[in-house]
This record gives sequence, structure tokens and C-alpha cells, in this order.
Amino acid sequence: MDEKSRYSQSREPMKPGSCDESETVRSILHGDTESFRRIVESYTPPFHGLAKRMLPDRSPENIEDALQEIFLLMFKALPRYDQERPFFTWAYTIALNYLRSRIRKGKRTAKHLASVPYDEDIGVLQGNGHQYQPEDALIASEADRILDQAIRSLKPKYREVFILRQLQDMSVTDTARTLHIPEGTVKTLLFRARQQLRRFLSDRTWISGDWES
Amino acid sequence: MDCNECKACIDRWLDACLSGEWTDGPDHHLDRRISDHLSRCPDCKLHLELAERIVGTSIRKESTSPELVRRVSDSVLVRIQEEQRFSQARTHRGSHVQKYLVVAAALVMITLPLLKKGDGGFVQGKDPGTDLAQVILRLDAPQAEQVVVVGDWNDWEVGAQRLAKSENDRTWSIEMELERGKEYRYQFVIDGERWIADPNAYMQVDDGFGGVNSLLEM
Repeated sequence: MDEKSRYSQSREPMKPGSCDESETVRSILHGDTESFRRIVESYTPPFHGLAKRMLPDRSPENIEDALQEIFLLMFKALPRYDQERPFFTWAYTIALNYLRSRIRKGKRTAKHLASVPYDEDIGVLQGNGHQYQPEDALIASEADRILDQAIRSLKPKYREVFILRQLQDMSVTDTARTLHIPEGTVKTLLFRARQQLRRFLSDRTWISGDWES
Repeated sequence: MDCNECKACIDRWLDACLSGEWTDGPDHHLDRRISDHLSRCPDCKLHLELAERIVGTSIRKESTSPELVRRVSDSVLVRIQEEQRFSQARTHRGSHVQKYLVVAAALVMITLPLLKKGDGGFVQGKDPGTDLAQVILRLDAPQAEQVVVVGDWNDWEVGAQRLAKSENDRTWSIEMELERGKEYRYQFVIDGERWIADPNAYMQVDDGFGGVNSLLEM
């Protein structure tokens, strides 16, 4: 298959959790490896956000490497996927398990690895057709940095629920399925995560103008 | 209005949202004086942006560059194809080895009755027709309270498979069935925090973090 036709086949982006997904998964299981490209393309943006929030080393190389490993793991695990269950939450469980193990292994082997700021997306914002001024973009990127710092101060179980439910717009039901916890627990953890972030916000000392430099 | 007053007002809105008393965005809640202050003060705008993100009313979403998406999908597909080629080549090599084994087994079957009479002492292995093979992993860890195995087959999920302690209180072991023709990387996790490769594995491979994973080739 030439380059052009390969991309034209997957030009239409597939939304994670859409009906097309089951069809795509069936094709892959029947040997159409190329169809896996659609899965990778549709899940790279949410998993990119997930990896960026969870991994201590946020360098673009590390995030990209983690994404590749997640999708390879997912491809290898596909024959074990129960097609009666939602693919979406299964995929997220694979990604989360991999990221957790990568964090653990990273702690073991590189405890003092400095966190490298991830700047690929700084300033790349989209928002319902709203046009942002440069100052808005600056505020957004600074808010992103501070929120990231706050999220990292949360306990892992709070952090995961906050990322999935709030930053990834996942429903309570899907968050519960992905994390294998009851829906009530998702709500409780989210409430506590928000309260802790709220405290982080009030404890923060604001020195006007220091972030603008 | 000064910054303290403005931030206090934003915080009140944030608290109202977190306690479920307020569900809309802050626009209807903030009066004109605050809006005027926000239009002049980037620091308070940042405070509001953070509050909105905590509550989840911020309309801003991060986006991932299409180049990154393309790079990841290209690399993943290339690696899958490489692994499939490698796997096919190994299966091909394996079929040659199998032929030699079949010939060797046939020779043993033919020659055994000639060499020894009576019970053959033949051990029945796993049905060769099945796609699963039996594996037993063992680890000598007398001090451990708990040992689990994590690997490609259980998505590296800690807690999925615990090893059982033997009667001599030294050795931990687990019996599993894994698919034939595949390669699995794995490690042991001792007491939930110490990750180690299997010292008895026939091969160790780089885990990409400066450590090693053990390798099982089925």
C-alpha cells in the first residue's frame, strides 16, 4: 500500500469509544494490522495527555516512547480482549497499568531524574472557536504548569480519578470501569481531589507578575 | 477592587461549586467590578483560570499536534510489522527444529524397546495440539512476605498473580499456562516494592530504564 492511500484510509478520525471501534478491532483480529493505525491515531491524543500528567519525566522523547510501548502492549493484548466489554475502558486500563509500571520502574532506576519541562504543546490551544490573545495563551500555559504541579502533589488514586474524570472528560461509569472501582468511590475520590487542589490554590503565594517573565 | 478582594470572590465561587451549590461558570456570579479588575490583572485571571480548571468549567482543551500522532502511529506500525516478521522467521526456524525433534523422537521410540524391556517410564507432556504450554516460575526469597509476577501476559499488573511459598519456606513458585510461539518479558515484585529480574531465566533483556527484564520464549 502506498503512502497516500495508507493515510487516505485513516483520514477520518475515529473518536475513542465510537461504534467504529468494534469493527476496527474485529478487522485487526482478522489479520488487518494496518487497521490498528486508526486505534493509534484516535487514542494518541488522550493517552498523550494521560502520560504527560502521570510520568515524572515529561520530556517529549519519554512521552513518545511511552505512547509507543502502550500501543505495542495493546496490540499484543488484543487477542485477550473480551469483545463483550467496552474497548474504550479496556484500552485505558492497559495504558494506566503500563504508565504505573513505568513510574515504578523509573523510580527504581532513575530516582533523581530531573523533570524536563514539556513544552511541545505550550501555546497550542483550542477552545470552541474562541480566539485567544497572546496574554490568554500565556495565562493558559502558566495555569497548565501550576495545575500540573498541584496534580502531582495528589496521592496516585486521587490523581488518576481527577485526570480521567476531569481532564479526559471520562464519565463516572467509564472511570469506574477503567480503574476497577465502584462509581461511588470515583465520586468520593474526585471530591477529595478537588478539595486538595483547592487547598493547593489557597496555599500558593501569589507574587504578581513573577510568572510573566 | 484589589487583588485580594477579587481572589476572595473567585474562591467563594470555587467553594460554592465544590459543595454543589453552584453549577454554572463564574461569568454570572462575578460582578462588573471583578470583571473590570480581571481585564487589567493577569495574576487574578490566572487565579480564575486555575479555579475553573479545578471545577472543570474551563473551555480550554489541550491539543496534540497531528505530527506527533502521525509519528507515533508510523513507529508503532513499523515495530509491529518488524515483530511479526521476526516471529514468522522464528516459527520457520522452529518448524525445522520440530522436524529434527520428530525424527529424534521416532528414533528413540524405535530403539527403546530394543534396548530395554518392561515399563517405558514415558511421561505424558502437555497435549502438543493445544496452544497453551505449562510454565513454572520459581524464586528463592526466604525473607519475602509476598512475591508476585508481572509480565506481558498480565499487562504488568501488580497483584494479578501471586507466587505461593513452598513448605521449606524458602522458595516461591507459580504454575501458569501461556500461549505457545510467543515471547514474554517479566519480573518479580517482592513485598510490593522491590522489582527484580528472574535470576533463573535463561535470558535477560534491557528494560529501557537501566534495568533488565527476564525473557520467556514459549
